[in-house]
Amino acid sequence: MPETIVAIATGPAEGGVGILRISGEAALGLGRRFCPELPEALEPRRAYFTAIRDPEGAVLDEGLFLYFEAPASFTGEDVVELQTHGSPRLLRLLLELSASSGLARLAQPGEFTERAFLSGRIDLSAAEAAADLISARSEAAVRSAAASMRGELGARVRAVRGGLVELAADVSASLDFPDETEGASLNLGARLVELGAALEGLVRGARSGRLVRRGAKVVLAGAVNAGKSSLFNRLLDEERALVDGVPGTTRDFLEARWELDGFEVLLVDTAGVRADAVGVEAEGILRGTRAMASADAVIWVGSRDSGAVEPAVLPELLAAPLPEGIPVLRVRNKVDVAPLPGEGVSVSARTGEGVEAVRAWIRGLFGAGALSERWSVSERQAEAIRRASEDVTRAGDAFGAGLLEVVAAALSEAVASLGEITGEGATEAVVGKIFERFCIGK
Amino acid sequence: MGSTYDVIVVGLGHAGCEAALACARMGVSTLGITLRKEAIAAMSCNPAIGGTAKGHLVHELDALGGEMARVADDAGTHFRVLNGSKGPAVRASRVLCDRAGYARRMQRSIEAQERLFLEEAMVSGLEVEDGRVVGVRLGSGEVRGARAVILTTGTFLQALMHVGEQRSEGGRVGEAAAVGLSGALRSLGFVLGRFKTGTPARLLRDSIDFSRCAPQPGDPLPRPLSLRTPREGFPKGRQLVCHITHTGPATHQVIKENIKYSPLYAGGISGHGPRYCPSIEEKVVRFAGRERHQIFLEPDGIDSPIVYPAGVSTSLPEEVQVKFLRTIPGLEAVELARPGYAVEYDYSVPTQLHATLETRRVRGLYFAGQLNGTSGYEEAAFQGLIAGINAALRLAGGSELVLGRDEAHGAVLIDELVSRGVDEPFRMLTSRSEHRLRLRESNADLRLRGHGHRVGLVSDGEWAETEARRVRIEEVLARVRGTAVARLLRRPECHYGELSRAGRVPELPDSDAAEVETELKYEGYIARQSRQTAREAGRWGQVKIPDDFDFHAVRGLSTEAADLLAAHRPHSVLGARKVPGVTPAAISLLLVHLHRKAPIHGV
Repeated sequence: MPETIVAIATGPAEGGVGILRISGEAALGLGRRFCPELPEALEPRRAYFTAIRDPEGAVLDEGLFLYFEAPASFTGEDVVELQTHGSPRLLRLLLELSASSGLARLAQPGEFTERAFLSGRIDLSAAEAAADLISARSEAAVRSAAASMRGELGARVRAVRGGLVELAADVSASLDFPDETEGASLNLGARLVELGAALEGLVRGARSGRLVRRGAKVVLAGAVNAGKSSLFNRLLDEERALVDGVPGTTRDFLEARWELDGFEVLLVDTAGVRADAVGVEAEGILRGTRAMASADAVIWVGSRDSGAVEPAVLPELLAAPLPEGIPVLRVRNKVDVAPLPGEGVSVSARTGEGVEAVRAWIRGLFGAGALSERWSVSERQAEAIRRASEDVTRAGDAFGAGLLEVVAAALSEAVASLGEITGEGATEAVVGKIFERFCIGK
Repeated sequence: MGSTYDVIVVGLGHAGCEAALACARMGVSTLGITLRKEAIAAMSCNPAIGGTAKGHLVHELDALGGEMARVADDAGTHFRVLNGSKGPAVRASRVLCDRAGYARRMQRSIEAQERLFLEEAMVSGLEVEDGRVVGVRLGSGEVRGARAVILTTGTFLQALMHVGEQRSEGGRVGEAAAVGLSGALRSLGFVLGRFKTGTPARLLRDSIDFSRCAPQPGDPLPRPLSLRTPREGFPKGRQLVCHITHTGPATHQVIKENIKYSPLYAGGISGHGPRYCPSIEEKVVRFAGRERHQIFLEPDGIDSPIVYPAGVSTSLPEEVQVKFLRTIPGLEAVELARPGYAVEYDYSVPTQLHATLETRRVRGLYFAGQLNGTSGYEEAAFQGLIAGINAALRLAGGSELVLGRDEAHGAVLIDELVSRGVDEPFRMLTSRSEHRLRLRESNADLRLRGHGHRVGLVSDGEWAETEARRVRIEEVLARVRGTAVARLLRRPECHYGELSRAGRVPELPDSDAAEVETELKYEGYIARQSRQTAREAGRWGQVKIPDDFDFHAVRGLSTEAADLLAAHRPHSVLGARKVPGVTPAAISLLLVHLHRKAPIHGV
């Protein structure tokens, strides 16, 4: 039997409730030490309101005692949860007392999840979601991790995968059993388009899910003196960046962590770009470039007096292209002074005009819809979804070129890619489906 | 002990013939034991060699130095390329053969082969000493000694034939079953399973009205399967026409009314049948919505009075067979030469084998063919060849021949058998090969002749021919890669011949030009596929599972999953992933367990 482990199950910050969680054979015994007034016979899954005492009998706090009997618990072992009033100091004390009792040791990060996984209580994708849950930083991240635990991601992926398996089976059957499937209508083009769109949706969901989990890095960039820092401050509603009318004030770059409607944003203000920068300023521009390379989105700021360098020439100025597929918002700043014609959002960082539109755009990065509809994906899952989407695009290209066997191969790869999430193999799935759908005999 | 041979091959069907010929040609003295010499290389089901995936297997077998392709070319009466327009990788050759002519032609190869001896006998046991096979025991009680034994007993182990409610022992109509051997294998610890397969009635040609069927001639310019078949004088015999007809609602009605007489539904058959080759009664039940099922009327041979109706395999009583067949266009007055039947037989669970097809349990003992749970002549022949090559290599002290899944469909076949096992008679499909785009009939020589040459089944001259072809192709590829010409050739509508006539690329023989074209068209796809496979194999294949690993000690693993894994004994997590019925969660638990013992990097 593995050792009993104990940990504080809530975050380090002072909150309303603090939870101490104990899992293992000695969980109940240890829990009772802190709560001597509990009745002899405990009903599992019932919350007991009781005093929490130290070994000498002094009352430390009052709180709830919950007992989950093995195997009907998160870890599959006996689990006790002590819910206290959330003082970090009290929780630390309880933890120390637990460890010094000799009945339990401190849990390593993720160990509860590992036990849940080992006891078959959660599958790999749920375990990964749990890992995300542990590292979740904002409320939205917690909710979306929970959604994935409940299998929303799994359900969506399985649905798309099901369609892919059927299509792959139909194509493969026409290749492996040409006589028997003669004349069967594949409707290949339309089905590829449909599946491609479904996968695109998954990719978008995965992208915003990823942003939900780890926050979005949004970089403000643009020509020197376009008013990036003013916009930065205006977005944050505080005078954080040093604002100055002389070109090139922000020599380095500034970052601010910002919670926007429950989503975490890392807003980065970079040095203005200009071709003739030297010394410290040139170094600042270089750092801004690096910040942009890892950005999830770029807000390109221009204004009439700054010369409004176009984002199109950005790569040359920066000597480094923007990573592909990064959303860019073009902002025309200082509309109150001298409106700049062209596309994008008109803003006056000084008066606040148009700033809400910029906020809304950032908010849109996290996807539309209610928080609970979104699901979090691990990097591994996002990568698998992205590959499946590419596979289907390739299948479409091959279909256009009339290469049916390449279509089959690309579809099988897409099935395999999604199988990395659901954990199912491709070949057997496709072969099984062929036999189910086609009447093949001798 | 009586006379002793290097190798004994038990059973001379399609697997046994290849095994015996390979051994003898590789220089080891070989005894082939068969129940009946006239039945050597009998085509017990349809008179065809090849088809999708099967045509690939035959090309691969031919490149490795096997016999089947050459024999089929000589006995072929109808050559056709399937999937001609669906792409070069799935293009597949199929040859209808003169059934009697095929067997006679193979028998001639066997009889003429040096170092290959024949004996008519039933083998009832194996002689094993210290975990190594030393010979076989005959039904008469005599023993024949050998340093290696290859079992290729096909469907003959405890074979039971069913026609309606009548049952008789036997592996093929008119032939005895092999008895005793199943028990002998079990007492050595081998696990056997039970499968069934079926075959349709044989029809008398003169009772068929072909005017009511659609004719299907062979290709106007037939191409041989074998690299060794001379183009002059090919095809040898007269070419025949195949016909297509179909069942209809009346047929299905007869079958439904009589389904209770089918041993399958009456519960008389316990073995698992294949999903891809269901009897007509299964088709009618499972695909109730279908109004018709296609039937190919395949001539049994040039002088044969018999026609094989592909698509209506059945084990219904003979009078029901006649009744439903007569509802089919063209068959209104059909007479049977003999009824269709189902056969049940023992197979050996193939996960008990190494990839060389040697058994894990008894050294020097090899299993090949339908005995391993496969279906089809070509699947059997390929295994026979590999078993024969490996037995002979072992005796000569050479390194074994185990092909990679990226080298041959045949390797995929064997890998699936030994690492995954079978839950129905196993038929090869190109869809099972993740490297399908690379494994083409047209490049089997480039892929495999080197191996055939190394083991001694391909002559220096033949290998030199292939190498010259490889050089021609590679030179052109090296010249055009990255050029505008290569970009042009990647376009589907552009062909090498046109560019060659325009003087933009060197002239090449047609087969080489086609290879250049395909290589260029598929380069990107194949590179991607290889990366994908490498990633997968790297990720899981490197996580080894020790031979003495206790699957029941994995925490959280269900007893069912542990039993499955323990039965298959995969060598790596990649292998474990292929075990049917093992869930992803089980694999995760296994990984976690292995990881705890020794951290696995990159997983």
